[in-house]
Amino acid sequence: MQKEYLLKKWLNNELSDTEAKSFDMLEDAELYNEIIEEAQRFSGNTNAQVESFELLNNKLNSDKNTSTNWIKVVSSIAAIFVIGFAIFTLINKNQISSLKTVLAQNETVTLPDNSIVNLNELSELDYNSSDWDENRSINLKGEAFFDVEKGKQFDVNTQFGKVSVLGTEFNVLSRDGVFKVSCYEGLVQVTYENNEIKLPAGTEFILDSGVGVKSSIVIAEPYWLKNMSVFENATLKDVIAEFENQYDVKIHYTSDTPMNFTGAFEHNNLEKALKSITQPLNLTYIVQNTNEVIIRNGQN
Amino acid sequence: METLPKSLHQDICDKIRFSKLYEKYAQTLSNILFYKYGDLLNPTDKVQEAFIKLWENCSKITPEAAKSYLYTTANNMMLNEVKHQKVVLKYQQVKPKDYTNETPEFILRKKEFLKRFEYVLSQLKEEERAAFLLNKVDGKTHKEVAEILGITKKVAEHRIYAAFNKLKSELEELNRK
Repeated sequence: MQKEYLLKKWLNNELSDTEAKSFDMLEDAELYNEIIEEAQRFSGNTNAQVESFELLNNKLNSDKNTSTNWIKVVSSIAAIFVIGFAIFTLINKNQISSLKTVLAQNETVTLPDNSIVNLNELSELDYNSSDWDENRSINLKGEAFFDVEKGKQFDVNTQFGKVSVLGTEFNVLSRDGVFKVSCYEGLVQVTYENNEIKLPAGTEFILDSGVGVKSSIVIAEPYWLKNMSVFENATLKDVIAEFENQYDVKIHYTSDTPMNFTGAFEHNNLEKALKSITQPLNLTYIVQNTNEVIIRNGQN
Repeated sequence: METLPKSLHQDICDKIRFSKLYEKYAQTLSNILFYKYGDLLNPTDKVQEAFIKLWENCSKITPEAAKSYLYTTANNMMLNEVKHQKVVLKYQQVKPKDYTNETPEFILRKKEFLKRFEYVLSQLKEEERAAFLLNKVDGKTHKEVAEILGITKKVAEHRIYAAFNKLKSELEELNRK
């Protein structure tokens, strides 16, 4: 009882001098003092010492940064999207549409703006479909007919020159050293070397061996677009035979002079077709009746 | 006369004022957490986090409420972690002083004594341990201990005594061996 009382008082630091003496007399007084003394080892001041305010202060500031880090996170996510979009458009930019035709093949292409390109045989074209709205530009090898929708400048690039238009119908031939542009509707501008030539409807431009000639078009549309018979260095006999088949007429051709024909005739206009054959060969023709035609030498 | 639109309310969103709060409460708070939960749960980290939280909310907390805010915040952080992982309390930092003039027997006994001390301390109820160490190590008065732990002075005294009693009986045993 006495011991517990003393202990409590001692713990409360409330011992009087005499009580302190009696406490010291206790058997385990030394132990009690040792317990208190050794307890100091467990002081939080040494075992859980807080850092200086300066260090915390850095964290307060960097902590503010972590809240702005949110902005960083958001902006980096945004950046990923932007970069992704950029890459996407870049890849798209390189999205080149191309078309190539082989012998006796004739392809029609509708461009992104609904312009129509009719690609003749043995021809090749390519264009960038992704930025078509911004840049209407086509690279062409061979021959093609264009029906261009109204809009921005439309360019056809060939190895010989550039053809620029604003909504029109025209034909471009760039093959075997021949560059020929035929304008059927609207206005076409041809740029070659350092020359600029404007082709109104119904005219064509031929660049052959560096010499440019502007002339009017005989045929209203390129022959190969229509049903036409095309010949290259064919004998007149063969041409006439084909003609007879197409128009179901009998052709009387009296001359024996062997002649070769390079060109074409239409299938739906007898007069024009006859002109197509006879004029280049300096021949004349007479339509006898609905199914008989006489072709003679021009001199006759 | 115009009245001021706002009362002259002093908030703690001022680095100097805030640093004073830190000097005043940080270590005490750390000690309390250490005494209650040991050092495995990093009491200093909790103190730090609590102060960072206080800084973030400095405009909403009055200087008077700051102390209890800090204590509640840090204590809750501790309790959350205690909930998540059962922690064995350890007061590992205990190392015998260099008793240069003592015999090897004495040093050996001291080592054993401290080991035992640490064990008994960690086996105490946390409220007893905290009250005892706050009083006997940090020198807080019974009244202060009661205030810190949110208990009455009588309860604080009882806990200090209970803690000492357990230490005493466990260590007496060792002494008699």
